[in-house]
Amino acid sequence: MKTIINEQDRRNFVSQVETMLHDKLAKCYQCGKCSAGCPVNFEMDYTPNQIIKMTELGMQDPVLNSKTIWLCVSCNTCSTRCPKGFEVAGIMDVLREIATRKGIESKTEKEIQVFHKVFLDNVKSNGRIFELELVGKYRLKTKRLFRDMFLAPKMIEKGKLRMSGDKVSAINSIAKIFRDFE
Amino acid sequence: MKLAYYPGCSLKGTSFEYEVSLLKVLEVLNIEIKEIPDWNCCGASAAHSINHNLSVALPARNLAIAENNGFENVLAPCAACSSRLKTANYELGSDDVLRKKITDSLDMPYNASLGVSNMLEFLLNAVGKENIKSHIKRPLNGIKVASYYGCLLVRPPKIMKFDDPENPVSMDELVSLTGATAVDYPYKTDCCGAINSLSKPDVVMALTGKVLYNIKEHGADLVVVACPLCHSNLDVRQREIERKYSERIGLPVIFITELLGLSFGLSPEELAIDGHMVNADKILQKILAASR
Amino acid sequence: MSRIGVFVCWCGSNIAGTVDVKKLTEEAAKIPGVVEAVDYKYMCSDPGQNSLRNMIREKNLTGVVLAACSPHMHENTFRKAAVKEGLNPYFVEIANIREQVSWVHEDKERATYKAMDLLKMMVEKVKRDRAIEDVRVPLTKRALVIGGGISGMQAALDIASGGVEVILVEKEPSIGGRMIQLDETFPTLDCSSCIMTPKMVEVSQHPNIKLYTYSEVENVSGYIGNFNVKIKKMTKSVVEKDCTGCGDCWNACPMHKNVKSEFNINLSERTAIYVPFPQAVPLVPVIDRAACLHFKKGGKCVKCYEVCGPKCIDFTIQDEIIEEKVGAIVAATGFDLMDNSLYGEYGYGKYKDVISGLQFERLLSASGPTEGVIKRPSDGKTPQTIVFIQCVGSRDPEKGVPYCSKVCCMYTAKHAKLFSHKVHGSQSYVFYIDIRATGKGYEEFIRDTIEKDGVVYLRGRVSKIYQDRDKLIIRGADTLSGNQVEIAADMVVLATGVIPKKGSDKIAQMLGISYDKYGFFTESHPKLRPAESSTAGIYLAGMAQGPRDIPESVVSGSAAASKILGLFSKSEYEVEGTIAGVNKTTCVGCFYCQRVCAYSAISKEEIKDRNGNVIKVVANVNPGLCTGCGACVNACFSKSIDVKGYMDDQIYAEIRSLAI
Ligand SMILES: Cc1cc2nc3c(=O)[nH]c(=O)nc-3n(C[C@H](O)[C@H](O)[C@H](O)COP(=O)(O)OP(=O)(O)OC[C@H]3O[C@@H](n4cnc5c(N)ncnc54)[C@H](O)[C@@H]3O)c2cc1C
Ligand code: SF4
Ligand code: SF4
Ligand code: SF4
Ligand code: SF4
Repeated sequence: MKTIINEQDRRNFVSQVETMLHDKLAKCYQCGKCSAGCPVNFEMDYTPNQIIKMTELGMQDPVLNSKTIWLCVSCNTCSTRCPKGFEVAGIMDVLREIATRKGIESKTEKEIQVFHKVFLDNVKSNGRIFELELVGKYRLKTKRLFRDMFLAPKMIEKGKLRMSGDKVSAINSIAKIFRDFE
Repeated sequence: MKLAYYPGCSLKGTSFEYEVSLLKVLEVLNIEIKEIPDWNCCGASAAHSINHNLSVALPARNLAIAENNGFENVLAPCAACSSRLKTANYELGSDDVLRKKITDSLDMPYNASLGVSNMLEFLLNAVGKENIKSHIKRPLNGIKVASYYGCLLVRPPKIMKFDDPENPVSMDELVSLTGATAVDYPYKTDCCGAINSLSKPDVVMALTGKVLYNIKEHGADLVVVACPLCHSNLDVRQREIERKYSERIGLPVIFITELLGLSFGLSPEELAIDGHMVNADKILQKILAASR
Repeated sequence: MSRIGVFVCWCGSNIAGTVDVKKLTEEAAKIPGVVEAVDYKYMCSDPGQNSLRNMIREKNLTGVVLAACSPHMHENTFRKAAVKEGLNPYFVEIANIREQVSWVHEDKERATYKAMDLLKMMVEKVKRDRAIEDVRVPLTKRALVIGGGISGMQAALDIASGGVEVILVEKEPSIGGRMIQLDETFPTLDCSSCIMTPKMVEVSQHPNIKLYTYSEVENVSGYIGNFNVKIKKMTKSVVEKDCTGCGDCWNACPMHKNVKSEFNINLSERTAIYVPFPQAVPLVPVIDRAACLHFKKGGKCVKCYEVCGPKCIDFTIQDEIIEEKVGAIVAATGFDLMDNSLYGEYGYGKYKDVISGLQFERLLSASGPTEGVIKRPSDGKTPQTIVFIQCVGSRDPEKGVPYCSKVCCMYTAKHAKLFSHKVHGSQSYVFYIDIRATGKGYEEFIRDTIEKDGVVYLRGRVSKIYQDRDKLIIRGADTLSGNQVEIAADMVVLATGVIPKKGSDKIAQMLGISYDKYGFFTESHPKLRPAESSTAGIYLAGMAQGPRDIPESVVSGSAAASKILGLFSKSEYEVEGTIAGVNKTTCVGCFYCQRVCAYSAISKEEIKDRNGNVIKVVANVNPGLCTGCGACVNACFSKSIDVKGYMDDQIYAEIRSLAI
């Protein structure tokens, strides 16, 4: 891949990320320990340390369109072990948030994006998660109608899937939170 | 001690066994808790993944309600919820600008005075080992138990401030109290894939599979967890993992409260152990037989 | 008649475990000439040494053979013990039955057999030993330091402070070397001239230091303690003692264009009569005759002469040869930078704004051509973006050298840091292969540059640089993210690799010291004798030995000084007596020996008759230089050279002993 570094764009992107992250990209010295311990590294297109370097170099497009930011499961193994105390897991959150705000649709990890959206929609309308509704909506949106279907009967039998959900009674207050911050 | 209880969505749904067993165990211990009135979902991973403000505001509402109701401490048995509540609490306590923005939106004051405990913290610090020990009626001698901590109980240490992030022992200590043998194994804190259970099942099965086979290799009869997400990956997906890797696992996965409950002499039914997907009959029979 | 005592050492179980020491002792006693053979657990212990002394005394021994560890270990111990009983130390021989037998063999019987052989050889040798006296060489207690950079200055100051007279020879019109060209120095960022000028003044004012600037060493002969040195003092065309350094002359000189300043590395011009920089020591100008109108145009211009108050300008002064005698020499000739034009792809020389690190130092320096304001050479604009490229020439076996230049990682970080301090809102990029920052505070310095000053580091080399309007486009790689990157910059600074000072090989040949294939002087031992050259009496310091920074250069200067002060602390220099000797009667004067001697120890000696007529020319061995290596012995076909202690008859007897 070829990247032409435009100093102004680079600085803008870096400062956007750093402001949201409350941390400095330059702290990372590229030792790779984060990537060494990342449980989902094997599925990623860029290792976590590459994501950091690319962000520092202002490579906005590849970073925001990467699989990596969506595959990260926020396990915090990276941040816990980083010798420089860099917020590796944090940068994944920040990049996901920027990508979401920009409306970037991941080509490969759309399902993860949809899941987060559907989840928050569920919270928005009920204040709490109603699992059956969450799963159903997610299935509809991802057109994965039958995935995991074989689990359902047994889960219902065991009482794990309830047929109705609880709602927060002061649902207005939840709506307000979403209005203010969404 | 006024103790607030934040159940979170899972304990009212797919992981109802956790709440059932928790309430039973607290009853035996004679500890009173009170559910936070009209609590809401903490936003779990979805919120912090794509909207930082929401990830603080949603837990903040619960914290503020608890504080305004005069509580000093919150018990959040779900590891994910406790992690979100602790993180929000940490940020609200250290960033005045953020706190103002959020309390303005909530229209409620919040002084970040609340303490948040996860299940293990609560049992070890608030209840105490001696207290627990004094209630043990049915020691689980001869049962080999692997404690699985996963990510959210211990990481990131700067916020969780609980146990050793690389080599946690708190759950193992509880296991030892019950008379069971704590099994040591290297994958204690390796990630199960957690949040991507629905959206990336293949990845999750690979990660969870590694953990389960590792536990099996180290000779455990039983796995205990303190997190509904871990539980659903380790328990609900276990059959599928066995099929995918064509190798049997057959490891019952129960909550730490259920293990304590068994040692307190409660019946498996009272503890809703039959609510799990992996059949635990064999090991339960062994436990019950030994106590007879 | 020889009366020889044999001592077999067990060395605990080190020897006794593998060699049958009892049997060896018994057999030794049977060798003709041996009066007594004994064995003992530890011969090097006090009781062991005493038994040796007692036997010498009681049995009136003429020679001693020890079957023990390597002579490297205890030869001295046993020789000293023998001397106490009045025996010449060279009558003590050691058969090494530990390193050469017990430690390397397993079969006890065969090991014992071999030990016996070695022992027999030494008995035969000791029978033929002659008394040898150690050689004492007189010492001229004065030192010469070649090179007035920081390492040479340090050596000179330390020797001089030790009360020894020093002659410091510097090629340039001023001392100071490279360090005085630098702006601030890593890792503490102290200003180079602030710490350097006082030292330079100290050198020039020290009563024990005789300073020759604008001078070169032309010839060195002699040996440790007794070197004869010829110094060529190039004419400055200025009577030094009268010059006040007022500057009237160089201000008056019409030749202020076309001559590039060496000190500012072509970034500015200088006059024909000039001082290299305002703080020069001594502050005396020199006339560059190749540029001077007076010399080029047949005496037409005399402007400087006219304005000079004390009238110290003298166009007639000629080069001068000065002879000095010294006892020790420090070679501290420093370094040069590699030629950047080797890299066509970087366009050094073609694009004005591609400069070297040393040039950047001059741009940073308040006394530099831009008075410390960073301006790029092409149009004088202050650059906003600079790309720094590390390892230019270093670690590049194809175009440059394979070694690491050691200082460029650090000075590049320093440059980027200082640039960010001087030009607010500017940006530096550094291309590197890896960062070598192993000194005290160095890693922290690099991290600080990255984390506090916002310098962006990219791991990878640059492939090509080209001009696009007023920008330089740098095409490089960042291997960490796996990207090819392109950056548009206003200026490029190359961290050029260091090489030994031009002509250092000639200096080495003149001094008779060894140097590596690049021209760096080699140490006598890379770890244990880092300050000594391969030749006795000649010491090394600074970058002339290999890449090093200022602290290391200073340490090495002090090390050389302490070696010299140590040498001079004795009244004479003592050399082992086992050196070559020429039989002047049989020598035919072919001088094959001279050709093979690596230490230049052989000279020609004229044998004269009573009337002073030369009858013949023969080889003569200089005891101060000879190491007793024996190369000459093999080269001499008239068999006129022997190394004392290793005479032919001894060697043959050793060999013959094996046949019995
Ligand atoms: C761009 C750059 C920046 C640097 N920055 C730093 C820094 O910040 N900190 C740091 O610690 N180090 C720095 N260094 C390294 C530092 O310059 C050297 O370590 C130091 O100058 C070595 O001193 P020296 O006396 O051995 O050699 P030199 O400084 O080269 O001195 C040798 C002297 O010998 C003279 N000479 C040579 N041949 C003869 C001869 N035949 N006869 C008489 N005289 C002779 C020369 O004219 C010269 O004056 C830097 C180097 C470079 C290239
Ligand atoms: S572990 Fe930390 S310092 Fe190392 S590469 Fe990852 S973020 Fe950078
Ligand atoms: S938090 Fe994300 S990036 Fe870090 S180790 Fe876990 S999955 Fe990998
Ligand atoms: S004589 Fe030479 S040095 Fe003097 S002023 Fe003329 S050109 Fe300059
Ligand atoms: S010091 Fe650094 S820049 Fe210089 S050659 Fe060595 S590695 Fe390259």
